[in-house]
Amino acid sequence: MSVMMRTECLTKTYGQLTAVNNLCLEIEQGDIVGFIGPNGAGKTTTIKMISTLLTPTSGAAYVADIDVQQHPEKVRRLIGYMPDFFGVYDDIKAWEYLDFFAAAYKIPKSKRAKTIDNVLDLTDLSGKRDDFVDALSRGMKQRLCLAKTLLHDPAVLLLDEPASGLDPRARIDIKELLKELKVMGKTILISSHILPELADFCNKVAIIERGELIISGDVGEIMEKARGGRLLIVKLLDRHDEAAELLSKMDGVRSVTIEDGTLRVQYTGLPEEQHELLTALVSGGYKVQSFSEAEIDLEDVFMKVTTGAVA
Amino acid sequence: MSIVELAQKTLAGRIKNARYENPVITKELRSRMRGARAHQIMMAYVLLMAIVLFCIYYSQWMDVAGSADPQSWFDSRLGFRLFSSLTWLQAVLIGLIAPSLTSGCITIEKEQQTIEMLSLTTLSARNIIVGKLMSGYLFVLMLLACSLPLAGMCLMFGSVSPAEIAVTYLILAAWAFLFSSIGVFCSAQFKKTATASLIAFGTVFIYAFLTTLWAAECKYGHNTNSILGGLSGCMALDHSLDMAQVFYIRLPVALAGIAINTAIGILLAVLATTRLPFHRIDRAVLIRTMLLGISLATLFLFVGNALSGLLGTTPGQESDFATFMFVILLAVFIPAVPIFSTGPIGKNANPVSSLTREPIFRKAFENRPAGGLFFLALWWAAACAVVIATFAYANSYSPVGSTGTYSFDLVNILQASIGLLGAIIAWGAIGMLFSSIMPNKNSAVVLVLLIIALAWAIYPLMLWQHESSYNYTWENQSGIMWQAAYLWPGTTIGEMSGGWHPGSTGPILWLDKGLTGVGCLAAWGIVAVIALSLSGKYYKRGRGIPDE
Repeated sequence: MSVMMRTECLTKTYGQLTAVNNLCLEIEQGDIVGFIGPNGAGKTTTIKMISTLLTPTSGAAYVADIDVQQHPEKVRRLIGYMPDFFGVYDDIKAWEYLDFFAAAYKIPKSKRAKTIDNVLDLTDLSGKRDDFVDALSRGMKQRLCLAKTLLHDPAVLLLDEPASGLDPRARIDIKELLKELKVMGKTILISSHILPELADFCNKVAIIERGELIISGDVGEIMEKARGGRLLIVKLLDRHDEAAELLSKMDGVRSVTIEDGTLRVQYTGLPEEQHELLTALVSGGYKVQSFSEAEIDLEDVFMKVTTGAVA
Repeated sequence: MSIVELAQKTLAGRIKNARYENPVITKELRSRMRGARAHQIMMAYVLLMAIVLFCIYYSQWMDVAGSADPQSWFDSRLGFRLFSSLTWLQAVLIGLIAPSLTSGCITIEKEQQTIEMLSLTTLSARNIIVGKLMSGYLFVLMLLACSLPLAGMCLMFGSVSPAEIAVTYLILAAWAFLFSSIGVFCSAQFKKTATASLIAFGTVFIYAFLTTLWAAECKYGHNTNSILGGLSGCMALDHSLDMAQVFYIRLPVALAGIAINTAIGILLAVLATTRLPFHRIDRAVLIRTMLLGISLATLFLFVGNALSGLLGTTPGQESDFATFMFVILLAVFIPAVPIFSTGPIGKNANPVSSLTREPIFRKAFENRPAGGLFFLALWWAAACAVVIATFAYANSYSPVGSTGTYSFDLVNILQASIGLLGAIIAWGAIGMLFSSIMPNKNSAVVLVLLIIALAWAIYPLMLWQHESSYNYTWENQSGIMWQAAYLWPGTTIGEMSGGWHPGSTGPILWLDKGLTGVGCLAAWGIVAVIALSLSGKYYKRGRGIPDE
């Protein structure tokens, strides 16, 4: 797969403050990357630099191998950027709003009406065609903005907190929409400080704090790395202490803790050998009620890798 | 395929693709013309003028109602008076409406955070500015068109010709274009709508006030037939068919007014495209060329016209006029120097070495403080060349209705020019110094302006010293304060008119009266060298205006 987006030692400083420090990211075509960090970590600054809105103090960013600083016009054609805060124009209807942007993206007149219908369908706003945009609800505005972002069929989407400030239903709508975009094969960089909303559909994660990229890569890999292996939950009827002693002596087990009658086992061994723990318990005569792997949770990872210094 | 076919094909393609479309105009007009608001504005506009016209007509009717002599109706030139009032009123209303329509066009996008999404489209800065400018300007043109029936009514009363009305409307259209451009420029330059509107209205008011004052002076004062009488929309009718003499050429005043106002409007619009956020474009070459062209053309028209009649038929006011010209040049350069000489000095470039790296002529059009300094010098040279050349020519020229020729003291004028250059270089160097100390351009500009203001504030102190020892003796005239007064270009300029210090034999520090300009240049040169070396020192510490 080809690299769609790349940053090299991207740095932005404002006087004494370093908003983004030596950020190196590589995003392949079709990747959905969750860009996670607490408020003020530098997510928006990074996205703005990639989308040509901010000039980096040093370093470079490339979209489809085009230097963002050298050829901003070319890059602007390739990307769809949705800012975290944005306004809409007064006194203009939804279709007029989209028509304006379609014209501004130089979509030929003959194709414009169809394109507008398509994006309205995709964002489920067909019923709001003739409504004034400043009268739409926040969730609808957000969807309209996404519709606008999709007009010129960009290969890369840069979405800055697309679901912030929305009620749960509107948030789910946006999520569904993003899943559809994923199917369409878009490369998406999506930032958020709320983790569960990303966990479902991202295949990669980049965590940033105080301008530094802390960790990035495949979602599963990062979870394991961050947690130091997997967490196994073992429920026993009795003899917890003995069981804990038995397990902690086995290969691949890093630590065992007991909480409310369950054993929490940190396991770093091979997944294929995981069953040996259960075999040992059963053959030792322990009354095992359940033996399971804890659900992977981005939030745990996030709390673990970040220090909360700027949150 | 034959050449003809190819030509036909490409031409047809050209025409097919030539359908001009500006999405910004479409969008702006869609929202502007929606609902009743736009129609209410039109209604109010026409109604207001109709009421005023009716009042004038009614008072006229009351005046002559008792008179049995129908001649009094003709004598009153009612049609001219009515249309003249209509023109005044429209010019004032345009001054209020045009900037208010455009001064928010970009700032509102900044405030509502729509500018980022707009900037990321494939629209160029020119598309955006043209769209915003035209959507405001077209609305003003529509209001002007709404008033045409009233103009037609004025025509029926006689004493005003269709040609006068047509030219008046053209002047008003140029007047509206300039004010729309001022609004767009302020909107692109400033962050907040409130600031942009305030500056736009202030600029419009000052420009309208000065040009109208000048146009009225040309009509009712002794400076008749000035070429610059057509700049004012308020006095448009009075100058609509006037001709003015520029040396041996007779030019229509209205044409000069329309051309200058439109040219300034275009210049401001081009300038606005470089001030849009998220569009990094450098149009320094175009802007500076336009600025040179417009200012020199205006200067030439004005000087040539003044020599052809403004000074009167009897020569004798040359020195006063020369002083007047240099006061104007000074008034232009005082704000221009800080604007051009400040800015980001550039990556890895020492301010001093940045002055000496490239060929000078290319440098003068480079958008950097060093380039700005060279441009100021070029501008100074061109402006002084126009003034000196026209004065030199005038020394063999007889003004209209006179047999004598002018006698400008060219040596004095050269002195004043050189003194002015000294001040420009020194202030420019101070501009570079602040560019390498201050964190942004605005504060650097303000500081340079403050220093210039301070310099002029203590200037009278020097003169006061001089005046206090009015019964001249050699010792007093060589006093240090008296010498120092020559550092201000005001002294060399003032000296030209002769009334500055009658009977003076001149200072000794500058050797002789004939060298005051050179002395001024030398003294300011020392200031410039100090400022530049200081700026190099500060720049090494990594301070100064950053790029962007």
